[in-house]
Amino acid sequence: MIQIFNVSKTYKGEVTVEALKNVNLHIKRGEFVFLVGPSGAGKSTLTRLLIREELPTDGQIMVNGKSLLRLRKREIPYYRRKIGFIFQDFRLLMDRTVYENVAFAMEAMEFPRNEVKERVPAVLEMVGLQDKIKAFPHQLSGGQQQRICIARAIVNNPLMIIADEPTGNLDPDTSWEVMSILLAINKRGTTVISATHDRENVNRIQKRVIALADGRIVRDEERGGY
Amino acid sequence: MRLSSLEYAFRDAFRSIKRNKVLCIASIATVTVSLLILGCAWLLVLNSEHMASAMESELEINAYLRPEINREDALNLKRKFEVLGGVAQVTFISKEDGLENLQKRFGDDASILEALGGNNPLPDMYRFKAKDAADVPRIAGEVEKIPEVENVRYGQGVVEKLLALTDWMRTVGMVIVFIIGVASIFLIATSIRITVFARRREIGIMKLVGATDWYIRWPFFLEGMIVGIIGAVIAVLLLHFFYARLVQNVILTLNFLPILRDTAIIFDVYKWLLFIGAFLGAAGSAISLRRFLKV
Repeated sequence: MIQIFNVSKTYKGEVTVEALKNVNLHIKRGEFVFLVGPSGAGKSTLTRLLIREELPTDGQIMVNGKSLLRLRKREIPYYRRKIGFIFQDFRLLMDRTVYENVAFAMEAMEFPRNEVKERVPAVLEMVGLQDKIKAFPHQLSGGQQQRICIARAIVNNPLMIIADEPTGNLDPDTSWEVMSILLAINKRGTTVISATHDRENVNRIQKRVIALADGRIVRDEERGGY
Repeated sequence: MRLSSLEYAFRDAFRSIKRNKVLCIASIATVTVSLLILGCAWLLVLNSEHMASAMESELEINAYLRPEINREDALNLKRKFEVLGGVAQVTFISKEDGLENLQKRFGDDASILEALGGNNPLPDMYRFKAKDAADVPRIAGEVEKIPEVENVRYGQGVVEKLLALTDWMRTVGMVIVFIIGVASIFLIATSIRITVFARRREIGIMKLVGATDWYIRWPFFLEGMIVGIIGAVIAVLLLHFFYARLVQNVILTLNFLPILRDTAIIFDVYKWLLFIGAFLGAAGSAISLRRFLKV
């Protein structure tokens, strides 16, 4: 489903940074992939390219048979609707309830009102937040907040989930909780790509691990550890 | 854009107006003031144009004949006058008719003839109506050249002065409206900028989950337009109230003044004011969005 061919990304500035160097990568539909590696290895750059926030300096990226390079500007929103995002810093709206945070995303994707009303409680139940529908994010724990993000990411039934250090701010138990929800989503057929520093969970889950270092892929194992 | 999305946009627009109350009220007030000035200037201009045309249609030339001309020669002049270009109507008014008219105006209480010692001092005269007000000075000039005519009177310059005043009011009104209009656009722009800033986090998330640029822009546009329209509605209501009072007072006390009462024309002004209000709001939003919302 995702094919990355000879992709390089260079940030030009006072200091020129080669974030990715000639990366080749194929990810099949339904896979669960960890991107690991030290900070600055290029994990975040890769996720930014995949959500078409940036374009590669060189190379080609195909998602579902379509080139991200040839995607027109007005097509970008529709492309992003096929992807769910999860971030280390949650990116929640603190002045909105759990329900409103998820509904907000569905509204932005221009779902009609009745579909929003129907679908939001259903996904919140899926991530185990059915009792917290009217709570505000600050009243919840980190793990619960991250589960709002997961609910928001899957509310649209996306083809793939891209997570940038989803457990970066969570303690080990909560991290496992979040990871197991991602695993459950993956079981239903959604591709999950997760950049992470979470050594423990990577070793425990035993899924495909792609290790980046200094902008290159240094390891790609089918059932790998950190 | 889906209907439900428009609904969301309206909800968000009203929400941020509520949050941003003080600045929104200030924006509404400037829109109201500028449209009020525009409306007053507009109605003034319309009224003076109305007045000018009312006067124009009554514009007459009076030509007084020399006293030594006898009645027969005087009546014969009519043919001469009728062939002058641009004349709509020529009426002979004898000195007796003139005296009668004068007597009518003073009422029956006193006899003017008696007061004048039995002599009628009025000359015989001709009254002309021109087809076109612009021809009046030319016709007057030609009539004056006829030897039997002693002198010619017409409302020299009154219409011209009125029209010049109208032009002047129009220009001054435009300048004032332009200045205040620009001020209100920028105040709206500022308030939209604050909204954009307050919602930058939401905007970021919306972009990530796949909101289109216009989905993101609409609430801000609506916010500006709602502010503009509210300002315009207040201006129109005030204007309507005061103009209705003015018309009433004029009818009661200065009945001869031809004030504009054609509601179709006045409502046209109101309609335009509302439209301009919405435009001011949209323009303010557009400025802010171009500068501060990189979608």
